[in-house]
Amino acid sequence: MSTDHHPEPINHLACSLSQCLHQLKSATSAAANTTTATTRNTTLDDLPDDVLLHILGYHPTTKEAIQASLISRRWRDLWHRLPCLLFPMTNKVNMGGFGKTIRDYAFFIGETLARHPQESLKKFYIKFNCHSQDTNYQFWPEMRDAIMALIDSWVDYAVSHDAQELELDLSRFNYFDFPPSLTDTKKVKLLRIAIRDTYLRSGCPAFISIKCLTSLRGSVLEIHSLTLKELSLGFYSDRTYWKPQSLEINCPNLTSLVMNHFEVRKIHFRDVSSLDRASVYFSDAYYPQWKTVMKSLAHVKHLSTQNFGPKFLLPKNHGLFKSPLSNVKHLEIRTSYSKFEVLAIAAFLYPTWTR
Amino acid sequence: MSITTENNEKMITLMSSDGEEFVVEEAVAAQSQTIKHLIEDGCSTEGSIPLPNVTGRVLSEVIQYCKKHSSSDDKEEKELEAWDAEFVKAADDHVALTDLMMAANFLDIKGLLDLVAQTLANMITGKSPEEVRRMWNIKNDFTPEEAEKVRKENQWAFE
Repeated sequence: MSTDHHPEPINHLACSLSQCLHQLKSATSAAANTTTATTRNTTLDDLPDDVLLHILGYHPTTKEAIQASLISRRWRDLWHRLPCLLFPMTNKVNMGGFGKTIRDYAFFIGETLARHPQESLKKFYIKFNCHSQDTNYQFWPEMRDAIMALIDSWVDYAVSHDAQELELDLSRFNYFDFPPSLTDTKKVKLLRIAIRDTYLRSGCPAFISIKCLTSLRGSVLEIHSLTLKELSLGFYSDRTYWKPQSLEINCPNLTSLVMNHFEVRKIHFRDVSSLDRASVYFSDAYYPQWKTVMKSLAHVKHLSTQNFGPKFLLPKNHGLFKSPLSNVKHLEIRTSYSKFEVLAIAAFLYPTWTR
Repeated sequence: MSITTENNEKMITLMSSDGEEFVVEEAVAAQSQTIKHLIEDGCSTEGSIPLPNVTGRVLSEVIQYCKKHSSSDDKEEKELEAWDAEFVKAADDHVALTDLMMAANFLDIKGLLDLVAQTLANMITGKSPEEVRRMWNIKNDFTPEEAEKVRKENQWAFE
């Protein structure tokens, strides 16, 4: 034992801060284990509960963590304190078909949540990704609504248990309504939502990591990702909120962006340098935001948007003013102008456009 | 025993439970939150830092991990991942990994703790309770009735 060689440092340590004291206390109690470590195999039972829970949290699903309750008395109720609840749906369709698979999955989550007394959660993960034979299969509306209601209730559970990380993989859905409990949460530090991106050819879901923060200045939706290639946001408005909400996108590898009436009053694009395609629509009340977005999309080659009158297309001082759209090769505008008027303006201003 | 190298890197000495001494850069050792706090509290100035429940064999592995992770920056993430995979593979058997887990917990090295937890979880997953007990020498203290009760209580997770 080291105490034989260096008694002084130990004494010195013991009288230092409580942190050291605590460590040393556990050290002395664990010292018995280490002296015998060379003669006896270390077993999982030598690890403290929180370390075992940490390991259980890395099981691919919570189901397996619960199954570990059969190992011994010590393991029996360990899962009650699991800090991470992980519910990935397997791709395999049960006997009894697609509907039964979904019912079984929902039943399992319901039972687990009902028996899991842990007050606060670190992580909550839902992967609702059941495949039917037809890869293009879409849920019919009633079923989608029922599933969405279930997902809402699970998200409510996670939020009410102070989950810090919430991950929803809804790759079967191409549309996702923010559950109401999420928009007001203060606790969720990291939110990842994957929804099926119909434009995504590779087939793997695009992961969006969103930090939801509610501060005095309103809610901030931050989308940071190094890997995200395509992002689609839609049909959300902060108009009814007294406080403005804000969106920040920092995705250097993003190539395609769709903002279809995703309307918040503060928009900041930190890095969208790889963006090639964008489709952006706002309602009239969000003209300033639209303008901000347009300025950040100067490098985009394929743009689809609407116009708010001639302000944007006709710069005041033509010749000196570099249009924010000077790199556009393909432009699609929804407008009340006639086709010929727009083409005439476009041809005059931007001869480099192919169409 | 604070030594300084040519490039002004402060060195500290770590002492394992079996008396083996390891001289490492402070930045490497400080990956362990436990050691970092000890250094901050001035516990290292007068000599080596004793780690009474980490053996020399385990400590050398831990130091290997800390060295790699203090010298790499974020850009080499992929390479680091591959290195991590090799590292746990080299730790080889489940008992060595349990030792490593214990050390990572005591020394409070988050990255190592997560890495080994993931590896152990992968080993446990898919094994029957009997297999897990046999591998890690865990005593089955359930009576057959108790085991049946647990299975019944958690029925929904065994279907």
